[in-house]
Formats: sequence, C-alpha cells, structure tokens
Amino acid sequence: MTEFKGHAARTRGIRRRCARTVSVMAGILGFAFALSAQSPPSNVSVSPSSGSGASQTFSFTSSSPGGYSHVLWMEMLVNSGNVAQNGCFMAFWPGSNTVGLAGDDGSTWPMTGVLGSATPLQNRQCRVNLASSTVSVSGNNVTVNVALTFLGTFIGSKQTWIQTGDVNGLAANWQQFGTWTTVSAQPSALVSVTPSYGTGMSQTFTYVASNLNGNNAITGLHTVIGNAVSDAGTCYIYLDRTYSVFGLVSDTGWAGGAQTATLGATATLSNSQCQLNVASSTVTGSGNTLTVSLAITFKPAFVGARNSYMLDSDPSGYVGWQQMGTWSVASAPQAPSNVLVSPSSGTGVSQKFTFTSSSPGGYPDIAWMQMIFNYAVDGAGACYFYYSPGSNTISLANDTGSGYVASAVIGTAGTIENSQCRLDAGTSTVGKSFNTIALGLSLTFKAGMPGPQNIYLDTAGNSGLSSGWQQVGTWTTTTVSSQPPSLVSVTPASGAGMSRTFSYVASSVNGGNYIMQLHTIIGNAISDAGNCYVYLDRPGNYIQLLSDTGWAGGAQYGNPGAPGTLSNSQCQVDTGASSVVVSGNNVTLNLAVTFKPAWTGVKNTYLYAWDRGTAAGWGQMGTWTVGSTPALSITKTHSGNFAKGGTSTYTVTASNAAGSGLTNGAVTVTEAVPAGMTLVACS
Amino acid sequence: MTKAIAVFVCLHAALVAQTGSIQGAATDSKGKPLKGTFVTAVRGGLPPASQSASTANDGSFKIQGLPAGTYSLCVQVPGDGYLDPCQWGGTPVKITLADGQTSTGNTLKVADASVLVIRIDDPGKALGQHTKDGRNPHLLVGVWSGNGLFLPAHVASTDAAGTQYQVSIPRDAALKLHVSSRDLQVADAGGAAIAASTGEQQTFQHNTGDSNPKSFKYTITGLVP
Repeated sequence: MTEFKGHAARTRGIRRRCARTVSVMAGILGFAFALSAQSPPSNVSVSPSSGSGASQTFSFTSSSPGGYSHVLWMEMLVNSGNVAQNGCFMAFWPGSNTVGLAGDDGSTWPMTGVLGSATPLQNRQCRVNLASSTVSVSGNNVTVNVALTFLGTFIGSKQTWIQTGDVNGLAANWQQFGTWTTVSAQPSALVSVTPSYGTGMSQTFTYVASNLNGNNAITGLHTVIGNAVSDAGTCYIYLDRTYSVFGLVSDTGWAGGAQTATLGATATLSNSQCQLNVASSTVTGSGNTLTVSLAITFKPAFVGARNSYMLDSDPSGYVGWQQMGTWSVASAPQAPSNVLVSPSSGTGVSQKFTFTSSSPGGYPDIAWMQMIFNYAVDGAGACYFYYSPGSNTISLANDTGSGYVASAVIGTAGTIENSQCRLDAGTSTVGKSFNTIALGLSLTFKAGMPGPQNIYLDTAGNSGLSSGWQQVGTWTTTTVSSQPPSLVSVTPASGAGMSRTFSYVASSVNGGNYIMQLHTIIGNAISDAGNCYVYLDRPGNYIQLLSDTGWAGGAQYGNPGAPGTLSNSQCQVDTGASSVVVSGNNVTLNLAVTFKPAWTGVKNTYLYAWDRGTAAGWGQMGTWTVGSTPALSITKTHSGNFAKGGTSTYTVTASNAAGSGLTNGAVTVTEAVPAGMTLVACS
Repeated sequence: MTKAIAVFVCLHAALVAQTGSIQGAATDSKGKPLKGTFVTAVRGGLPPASQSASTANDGSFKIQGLPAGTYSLCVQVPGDGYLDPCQWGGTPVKITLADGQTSTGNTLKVADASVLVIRIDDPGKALGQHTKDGRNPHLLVGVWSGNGLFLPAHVASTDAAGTQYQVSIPRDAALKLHVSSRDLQVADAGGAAIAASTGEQQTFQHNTGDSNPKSFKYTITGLVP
C-alpha cells in the first residue's frame, strides 16, 4: 500500500466543498481550473465499466501530469445519474489514505476511514468495506480499489462517475465511465447457535449469522437466553459492530440500561441472570458469515430450563427473533418431562395419538419414552410401548407385561400387535425440535381392551432420570357391557389349618382387566373389624390388610410379589408369596395367609368385586377352620436281637407333636409284619 | 373505566388459582440425608401436573408451583443404589394440596437397592455405526419388574471395549433381565446368540447378602446384515 505522506491537503474546506451536490461543485471547481496556468488532472477510468451485483470492488483511476503525488482528491459516485443525494458518493484523499462516504443527503462527509480499517463506512445506499479496499500508484496514476456493497432499496441501473482535484486547485470535472446494475441487498439469515441444547452453569455459545452481501452487512447481533424473548429478567447480550462493543442488558431491560465493553477488553458484564466474559468472547467475520462466541456464566438464581433466541440487524432491517435452541441452566442433568398426548380424550377403535415429551437438555437427551393404555400403570393386559428415539424403534409389550412381542421402526411399513392393540408403524410418525420429541402412534384397539382406558406417559433422559409415570389422558376404546362382575370361587373352599394360600377369583364379561378391586374377608361375618380383611386395589397395585378395628383404624399396605408382611391380630399376609393374575375374563388374587394362634375356630370366606362402575356384592364362598393341624409321626423300636425261631418284640409308636392340632376321629395305624416273621401277639 | 378495571382485577384474582408447594427432606433407610436427589411431585388424574426439585446438602427440598390436587412424591437418586417408589410399584408418599397450600415436614425415606450391571462388549464398535436405513442401532436393555413394568437400564459408562448399563433393582424379588436388538447380533456370556426378534430374558433374583452388584455380560458380534 502506498502512503501519500506530505500531502495532507485534506482540509475541512475541501471536504465540505466536495460534499456538496455534484452540480454545484462542478461549477466551483471549474472556476478553480480556469485560474490555473498548469495542466489539470484527469479522470482515467472506472473498472469494471459494467456489470451487476450486490457487492463489487471498483477501481477508480485518476491522473495528474505532475505525477500521482499531485492528485489531491478524487470523488467517486455510483448513482442513477450525476446526483449526490441518495447515492453512493465517496471521496478519496491520497495524502492520508482516507476514504469518505457522504450521508444520504450528499452534502457532508460524516464518515471517513483509512484504507484497511476494520470498520466499514455505510449509508443507506452502500457500504464501503475499508478492510478490503486498497490503493495503488503507477506513473501519474492513482487507483483506489473500493470494495462496495449495495444496500436496501438501492437497486437497478446505476452509473459510475469520477471527479479529480490536484494540489494546484485544478480539477477534472465529473465524467461517467460506466454503468452498474445493483441488486437488492439481502437480509441476514440466522444460521445457528452451538451448542443448541445442553446443561451447565457455564458455556461458550457460538452464534452464526450470514448475509449474502458479506458479513459486514450484519451490523448487530442480539441474543437472549430466557423463558421468552424479553429484555427484562433474561440474559440479553448484544453485539454492536458499529461501536465494536458487547452489551448486557440490565435486569429490568433496556429501561435500566446496559453494561457495555469494547471487544477484547478484559472485562466482565453482569446482571442477575448471567455474566459475560468479554475477553473470552470473540467476533469473527469471514466471507458472508459472522461468528460470535459468547463466554457466559449463569447465576445460581437463574437455574432452570431456558430457551435460546437470536436476532441480528443489517441495513435492510432486523431479522426477527428466532428460537435457536434450548439450554438447561443447571449444574447437573435434569429429568425430562411429559408434556401431553393429543388427543387427550375421546372414543374410537382407531386413532393416531401424538405423545410429546421434552428435556431441558434438548431432544437428544431423551433416552426413551414409554406409554401405557390401561386402567392403571400396569403393563399386564395393556397396550404398552417402549420407544427409543436413537434407533427410532418402538417395542410392544406382551399380554402379561413380562416381555416384548415385537419391535418396529417408526415410519417403516409394518404392524406389531398383542391382544389389546395393533400399531401401524408405517403411518406412525416422529418429530424432533429443540428439546421436544412428538411421537405419533397409529393405533387400533382390539377386543382385549374394552371400554374406558387411562393413558400414561413416562420419559427418561440419558442420565437415567425420568419424569415418572403420569396420566396424560383418557380414551374409550369400545362400548362395554353394564353387566356387573361375578364372584367365581375361593380355593380351597374349605379346610383347616393355620396357614394357607387362598385363591380368590372374580370375573367380568368385559375382561378380567375391567375388575378394579377385590375385597376378601376370612371371619365370622361380613365386617371390617376383628377379621382378616384384605383389599386388593388393582390401579394402585397394592393390597391392604385392615386393622383390628377395620377401616377406622387404617390398614397396612404391601405390593403383591414384593417381599413383606402385613399383620393384625387375626392374620398375617405374606405379600411376596401373594400375586394377582389376569386371564381372560378372570382376575385371581392368590393370598398367602397365616392365622394367629389366638384366632382359632371355624370361619367363613367372603369375596366382593368391583369393576369400573358396578359391583358384585359380598358373597360367602366357603369356610375355613382356623386351627393347628396335627403333626403325626410314627416310629419303630425294639430291644435285643432277632434270632431265627426265636421270639422278639418291637414297638410301633404313633404320636402327634406337642402343640399341634388335635386329630379328628380315629387314627389308624397299619403295620405290615416283615417277611419271614410271624405275628405272635399284639398289644 | 377505573371501576371496570378494578372489577376485572378482582375477578381475575378470584379466578386464578394459587399454586402450592411441598417441602421436606429425603433420607436413606438409615436416616442419612440424600443430597442431589430429584424429588418429583406427580399429580394423579387429569389434567396432568408435576414439578421437581433437587435436594440440598441436608436432603431438604421444596417443590413449588403445584396446583391443587393429590401428588405422589417420586424420588430418584442419581448414581443408582436406591429405589424410586414410583417406578417399582411401591407406595410413594402422597400429599393432598388445596389451592395455595404449603405442605411441610415431609420425610421421604428412600429404600436401598441392589445395582444390576449389564456389560455389553462391543469389539467391532457396532454401536457407533448406523443401520442401512441410517438409524442408530437398536439395543434394548432393562428389567421386567414383577408388576408388569419395564425398567430400562441407563448407560453408566462407555470405554474402548464397550458400554456398561446399570439399573437399580429391589433385593429378594424375582425379576427378568431383558436384552434385545433388531439391528445388532448379540451373544450372551456363553457365546450363544440371542434371538433377534424377542431377545433374551433371564430370570434372576438378587438376595439380601448377595455380593453387589449383580452383573451380566453380553457381546455384540456385529450388525445384522
């Protein structure tokens, strides 16, 4: 780059004069030319002389017979004619290597800058990219290469002009050297924020925007991390490229002002939500792309799931706020949440249900979604799915909730089914956006799932943390019979003992799953007090043993199949040895009961069943004698040796162990004399 | 006009229900505070409502923003070793809140659990590849509980040789380990290939006094052609 030191003739007067309208200046400079006895400078060329585009580097060349150093100023114009107003009207002062750009009114030089400077000059018509602009000299010629970007509505056919002045006050008047068709400036595009999701208290976020007119067309970039696009109560950070500063808006928004710091400064900007480390934050422009990295530390009070928004500005205006991602302000992983199912209620045999889940850590953090159609959170007799977003695969549980019948890929033709429902995987869909996954399942309910059903959803993240099962809707698959449930049996129907597993069976024409509760009593009468009263709640999957005083005194809880004992003064229930089985229209409660020694005697066994609307009233199903059972044993003893032809005695002893129950009636002992021996006498 | 606004404000205040909160502390079975534990209040019935909070160093928590209703308190302890009563058919603590009510002094005693470890060796790095239709390979690892629910295992660690899955399980209960994949060829510890369609289910029980953790091992031998 050639410096024009010693020719700092860029006086304020010239600048003012040069900035007048072209027609006026031509007259003044023409008068100056007439007073000079020396040869005036000349306008040489503009290259390219024609073409079109939104950005172009133009080479304006002027010359002076006294040598290039005699060129004091050059004025350059791109406009619809020889008019300065609302044009791209520029000046170049070789002595200071400085370029000026007139304002929209064409009467002043409000913007000047040295070639090579990072900060561009800009009015509403064009931007002079000084960083990409240069100057060269050759002989008598000075060529300034000006990188221009045309902006806004400055579009259409334009002309290129030059006017030149020298150190002697002589000038070459305006000459047109070419034409140029400018095209519309492009609005900026918000490209991305990286990371677009995640969790943490400190993070460097990289925002990328682009403009077809070059990254310098992007004059500002604003970011918000918060629950919504708001300047108050959020982490609102902006970049102002005109002044090369970062700003952090106050807690109360713009009304409360903003802290600012020059790019690269050793400074931190802080509000109650976040802190920006300015020294670690960068701005990089390359081609059409502007990349802004913000080193942000969040405040503890700002913990929670947040959205990440972005906006930028250019001469065409602002590109509106867009959500670019999500961020979980937290020091540790957060559990996902169940959002909804749609529809959340209704009736029908076939329906597409869309389940939506979200994770503060973004949708890739969702490890799985499970959904159940059933009377309760119970995989048995249900339409129960497991969905893996990573593999886009869904699995359907079997009828007993103990394994999977099959799996399918969402969006790929095929069906999977059990006795309750059928999934059409081909017409099922999945959508992922920021922190949510929307899974659309095309379902057909079958005869094994009649009547009203609850819809449950559970979602977990990669950390293993889950939302927990949550009811999100209801659905009625088919009409059901109003016939109440029936009491089938208690097995054994009779007997005696201190310990026994009783099997209670009830039935519903709507299927065993339709039965919600079983109540059982072993006692002298139908009473909740002083008996062995056990209640099965199928939706809650628990059994209760009522207190000695009945419901009024509360109950002990346990889960069928889970180790544990429930106890009152009458009996004890081994929950681990108890179970619930649904098969066809029947539901069976297998109840492992041990009676208390003080509660002996003949008892009745009662059963009551309730479905989702009707009940089978109490019915006596059998009797049971609570008492200790006999513990019989038999032994043989003898004394002396047995000799052939001799006589010996052996004793057979039958006994009932101490503390055991009494025998009922005669006890018969049969002794078969061993072969080779003959019975002589028995006593 | 002022009067109209005042009336509106009064009506608005009357119509907008206040949310309540639940406070308490989470401890292990011996009463030791559990910090960093996620306590989630899940409202039964519709419309659904839930909120979560993480316990402080002293195990205390406060869950806010809860509309009226009856909530089950689910407890998840990161790192395994405890049973979430909401996931294992337990009996979670239930709290009923009226509008704007605060429930305090709730102690959540979290039952100890055994840890089931499922080691998946992957010498061919098949898990990092894609299927022919561009998906991540499907691999389902978890446990069927006795109450008809599937408890997926989560990835506890990954190393050069494979991935370790874990899940907290109750002791002294008969459970079924499930491993299946429609995209991967998987062999059990004995080298036998597991069925691609239904996978493999092993019944097991981790009894009190058994060494912890209970572990199983599988090997991925490749992608399904």
